[in-house]
Amino acid sequence: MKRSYSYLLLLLLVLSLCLVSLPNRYWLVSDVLTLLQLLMIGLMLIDLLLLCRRSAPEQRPPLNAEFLFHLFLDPKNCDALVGDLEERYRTIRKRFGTGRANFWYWVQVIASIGPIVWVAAKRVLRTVSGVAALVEVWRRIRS
Amino acid sequence: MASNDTLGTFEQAILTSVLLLGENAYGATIHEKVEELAEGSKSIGSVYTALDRLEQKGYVRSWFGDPTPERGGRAKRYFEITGVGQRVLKASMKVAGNMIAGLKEIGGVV
Repeated sequence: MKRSYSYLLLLLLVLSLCLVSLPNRYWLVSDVLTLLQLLMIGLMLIDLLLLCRRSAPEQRPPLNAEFLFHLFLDPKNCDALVGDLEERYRTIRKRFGTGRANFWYWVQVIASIGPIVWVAAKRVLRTVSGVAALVEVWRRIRS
Repeated sequence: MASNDTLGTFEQAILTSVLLLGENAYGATIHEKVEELAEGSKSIGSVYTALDRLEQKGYVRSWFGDPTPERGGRAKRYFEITGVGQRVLKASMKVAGNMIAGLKEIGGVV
């Protein structure tokens, strides 16, 4: 339903509420107005529901793993890996449903962090031990 | 790189997957293929770290494709096996074949 249609409904509802306090001899009009008010409220609720569904974000994986991987991978590799995870997540979700897809995604993120962190740690250790070796050599030269 | 380097089972599965997938060899497809070949679940992180290791050894090369909307605007990382990689894989398969033949001779597990 278009947004303008919703505003029109709201305007009619406000106008009808203004007319609600009619004298008793106009009971038929009053009852009809009440029914119209209820109908308008119902239509507005349906519109609101449809609006919420339209603006609902596309189903995403359960965890924003990009930040976790970003800590240990360079941006391009991080992008590629997260993209691959999302691609496989969507395939699994289509086939087995959201619950199993979410579980698969969690398992993959947790299982993937280990090897990635280990490689990053080895790189740091190599750098540190390389620097330590240089410092030791310099110390021996000086002494 | 030395062509008599040995490959681990996981690395063999990865190189085989890259070779089998051809032009369609990128992270997600390689991961799926490796799980199929290894008959078990593997983490995508371990596949990526192994691919990086193989690239450092010169057995595969990689490049980034264009971002696609299906992947949330993220690019794919494609892989291709090099000549050296093919030779090393062939050597590993030959060793595996020799082991199978030896076991068959003694009526072993194969």
